[in-house]
Amino acid sequence: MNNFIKEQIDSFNGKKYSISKDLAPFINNPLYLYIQIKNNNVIASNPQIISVSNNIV
Amino acid sequence: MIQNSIKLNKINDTDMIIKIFDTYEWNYDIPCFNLSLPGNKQGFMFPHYDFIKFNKLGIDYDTMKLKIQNYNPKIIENDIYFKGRNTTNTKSNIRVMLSQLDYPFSINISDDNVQGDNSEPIYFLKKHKYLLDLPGLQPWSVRFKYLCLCERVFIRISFYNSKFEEKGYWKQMSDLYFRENIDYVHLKYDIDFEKPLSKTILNKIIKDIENVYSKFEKNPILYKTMVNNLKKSANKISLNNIYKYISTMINSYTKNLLIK
Repeated sequence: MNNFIKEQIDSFNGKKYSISKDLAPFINNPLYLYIQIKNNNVIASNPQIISVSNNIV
Repeated sequence: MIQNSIKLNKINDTDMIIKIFDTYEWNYDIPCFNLSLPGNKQGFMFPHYDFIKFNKLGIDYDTMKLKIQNYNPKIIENDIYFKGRNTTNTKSNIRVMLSQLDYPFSINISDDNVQGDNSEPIYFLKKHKYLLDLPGLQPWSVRFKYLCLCERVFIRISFYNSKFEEKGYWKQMSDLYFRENIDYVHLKYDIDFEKPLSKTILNKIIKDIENVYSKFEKNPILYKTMVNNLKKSANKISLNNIYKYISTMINSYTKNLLIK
């Protein structure tokens, strides 16, 4: 499992991303499910397909 | 799925984006989670959401696994079987093209499919000696992980397009558990899958499938070995392991890719 996940991490070639600058603009984009995890709570923003987002969350 | 993962393994606070459709994120440079991803493409693979709810039947993967493993048909047809919807008609059209072939092919295109609540149970796939995994609207299929439970030799057909800089087939999270050409037969084609298959490519695919059929028919030990390999690998995949993957993946993503 670790190698499988490492390959996915490595696909970004060490680049780092900011939540506020890079991710936050997608909160209201209907093509994406935006997930926030805080204190073991999972919140889905823009759950445009309820059954899918419920399953993922 | 994420909440179930948290119950088993701590997940650190984070934000993440999931592309819930069957295409992957290629438009923006963001660390996105996808349901499938071509070889070498940037991104993460999130388990398909039908792991916890199998379409309208509403049962989870572990339950489906038990149902499939406990089903033993009295007669097993010696054919190469596929049943599914006509989802490729606007693209490669491989499903319709193969449905016109005679025995040993048994390709059934229907508006209903093996996942529908009015259709045949997925464990009925075990009534057939050889199974096919054909691409859907995109060049991958969610049925792969169910075929892996059927204890039959199955042939997975994968497309990818190197002209889009795809250097390998579209992987999904289940690929973590199953080894190509050890647990199942994998036939991969570098083509423009957005267009109907050319006669040359179609004939090659048919010939390749026939060669696999012939090879296993001539060597029953080979057939048995591959099925045994598949059974062993299938024993490793479970919902708890999926949840472990989700928590490990999200924590690795947060640690390695996000600016604190």
